[in-house]
Amino acid sequence: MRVATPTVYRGIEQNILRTYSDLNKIDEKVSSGKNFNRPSDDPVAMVNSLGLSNTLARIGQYQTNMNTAKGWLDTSATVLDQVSQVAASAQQIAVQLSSGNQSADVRNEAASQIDGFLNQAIGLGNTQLNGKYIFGGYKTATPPFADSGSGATETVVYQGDPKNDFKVQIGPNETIAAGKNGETVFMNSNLFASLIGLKQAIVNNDQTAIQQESTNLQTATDYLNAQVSDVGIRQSQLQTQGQMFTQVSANLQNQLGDLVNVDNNQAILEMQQKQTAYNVALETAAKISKVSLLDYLT
Amino acid sequence: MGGINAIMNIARGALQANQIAMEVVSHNIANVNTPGYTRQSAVLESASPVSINQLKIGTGVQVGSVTQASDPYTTRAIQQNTSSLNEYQTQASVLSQLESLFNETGNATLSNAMNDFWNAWQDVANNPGGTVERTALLEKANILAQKFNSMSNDLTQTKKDMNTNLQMGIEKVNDLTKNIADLNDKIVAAEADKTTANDLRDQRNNLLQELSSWVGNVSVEQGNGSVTVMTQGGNLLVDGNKHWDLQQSGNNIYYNNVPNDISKNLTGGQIGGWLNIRDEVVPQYQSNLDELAGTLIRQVNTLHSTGYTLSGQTGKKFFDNSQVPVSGDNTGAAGYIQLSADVQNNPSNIAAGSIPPAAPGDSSPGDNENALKIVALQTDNSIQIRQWTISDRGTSTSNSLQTETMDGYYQTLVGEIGTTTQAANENQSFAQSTLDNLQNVRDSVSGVNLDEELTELLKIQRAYEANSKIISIADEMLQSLLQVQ
Repeated sequence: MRVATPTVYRGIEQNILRTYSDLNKIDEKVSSGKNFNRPSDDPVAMVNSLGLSNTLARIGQYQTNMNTAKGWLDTSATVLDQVSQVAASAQQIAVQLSSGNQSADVRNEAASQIDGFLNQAIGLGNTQLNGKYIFGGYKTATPPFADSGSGATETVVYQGDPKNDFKVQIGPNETIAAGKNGETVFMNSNLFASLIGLKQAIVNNDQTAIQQESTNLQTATDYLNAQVSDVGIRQSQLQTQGQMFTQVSANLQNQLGDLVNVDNNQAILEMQQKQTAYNVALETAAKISKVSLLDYLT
Repeated sequence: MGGINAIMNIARGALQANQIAMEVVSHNIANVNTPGYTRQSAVLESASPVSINQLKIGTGVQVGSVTQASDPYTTRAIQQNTSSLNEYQTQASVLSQLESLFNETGNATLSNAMNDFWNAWQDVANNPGGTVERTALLEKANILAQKFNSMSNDLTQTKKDMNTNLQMGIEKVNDLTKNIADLNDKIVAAEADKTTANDLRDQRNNLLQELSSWVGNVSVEQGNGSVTVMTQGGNLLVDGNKHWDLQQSGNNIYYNNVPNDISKNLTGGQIGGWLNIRDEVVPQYQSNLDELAGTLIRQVNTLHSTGYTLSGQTGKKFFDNSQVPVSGDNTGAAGYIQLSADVQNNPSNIAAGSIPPAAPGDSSPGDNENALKIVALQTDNSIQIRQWTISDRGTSTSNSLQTETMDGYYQTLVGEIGTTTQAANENQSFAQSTLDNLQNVRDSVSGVNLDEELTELLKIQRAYEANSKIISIADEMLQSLLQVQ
């Protein structure tokens, strides 16, 4: 084929531009450390990476939520254990007193001890975590338990949320009861009523009633222990889920890294190749443009 | 006539012919780098012989014509490819700007804003009574709405920019068609004596190629040497020495001042590219972004208005939906999405709870059930969103109902713009290499090769020298005669 002089120069120009543009592309990859810097660089990888980052962001949030839930559950477990010990201690006193008539002094002493237990139990029921009452269901701003009346009319009222547990999301469409409401955990155990009943029975020196309350307190202790193990079940559920997320999130991070991050060894090798191609284009240009018939004419 | 005078005349004629040939070579060398220049050559032919004593004696050489090594087929192919290349180039360059709007490799992206928005709802769910969490949610929602707004604005601005570009392009086209008509006139006049107006034709080809870079066209050469130029859609732009203008009025392009939009007749070239962006690409992204924003407003508001605020009120809106029509048409939603007056500056009006308060005025923090429901929207893959396809310069719009998460819908959108931009880039480099090839093919016929011209130059120089020699020999012969006494 006949080759016109401008064709030669056009060829040189195109080769230099093309190799330079290739070099520029790989330069951008290496310096940004990313395989793609705009959607058109690799639309499929871009969309995949978006999906992965979204999932990671969501898992990150679930992990934050789970930390909240863990705080609540850990505190609940400690508190419920203590309450159950209070119930057990009160029951021991009941057992001691039910063995025979005691002096008024002993009874008064015992009654005030029981009163102390009652206050302790109410205090534990009103435990706060980060300023929120954890046994009030959704009513986290009001103390769930209050002592009202005195003597025969004394009762402990529950003023928290009677139906709902405080739920936290720990997965897509999955929530966990971080704080069960006080109605379920405390009121159903009849602990407060039994302590008040026991106090009255001691004051009245009513042996039958004391024995009755002793049985009630045993029931309450069992019930509270069941609540502790219920919390334990949720704690281990949370732990399993947490481990699962840690693993999933590490996997996803790896996938995202593989997708997004430049493999430096490969990229630098590629960069050297492009650099060579560019140099060759430049050298060829210098050599070709030197040759002309003019050089040989005198 | 014969004899020594005839010899001298032949040599003189040959000197003249070779001078002309050398002028043509010089012209070629001078134009070696002139774009669109077609190599010319002087066609030498022997002059008619004369009869002397029944002998046919040659009378030397003459220049029959100066022709150009033109390749009309490739030249036309170059014009057509110039228009495709410019169309793709224009689209690729606008798309790469558009793509930066949807560039999700950075931080301040819509995708991140959406994640932050959903996570802020989670935080509210974790502490439904917390003012800090509620205020943070409003901030995140505001950032999300503003991100939608600014993307929508940028898309609208892109359409306006296209109109500014079109204005310039159309002026250029009108200039070019006028100049082509002028050249038609000159060429017809110059070629009246059956010669070829070589350089004028080169000029006209250059103008036709430039016209193709602005808008695709069909050009046909007439018998008298003039070209007739039409748009791809058949509007006559140049015929003989007459030309017809285009006018722009808002989004319309008129032909010859007739107020009837002919923009669909303009395809190819930069103008075709801009029109595609303005009437197909941008409207499609805009509709889909609107669809996403509208769906978000609707879905969040539907749940939000059934929930209860901190003060136990219900029926509050989260996003302002005064502009969302009941018909479900989401046009413009990305532009107008904003927080409702209910919650703006009023974090306690966020309806995180789904249980009515026990007593009116009960100020205890409500539950988080509603917040959890709204959070669940993020992973709800049963949401139906329309996905629009706009083609044929906006005359054909269709949508398909996608059932997916809102995140997924947006990811599809980002993938789509990535693929479109990638395709435009690939089309551009393909058209570029096709054009380069055609240019080389054309040059192989029409381009100047300096080595070739220099060889030609030597050849002519030698001929010139030889003919000069003949004159001096003839002169010596004459002198010999004169010395005979």
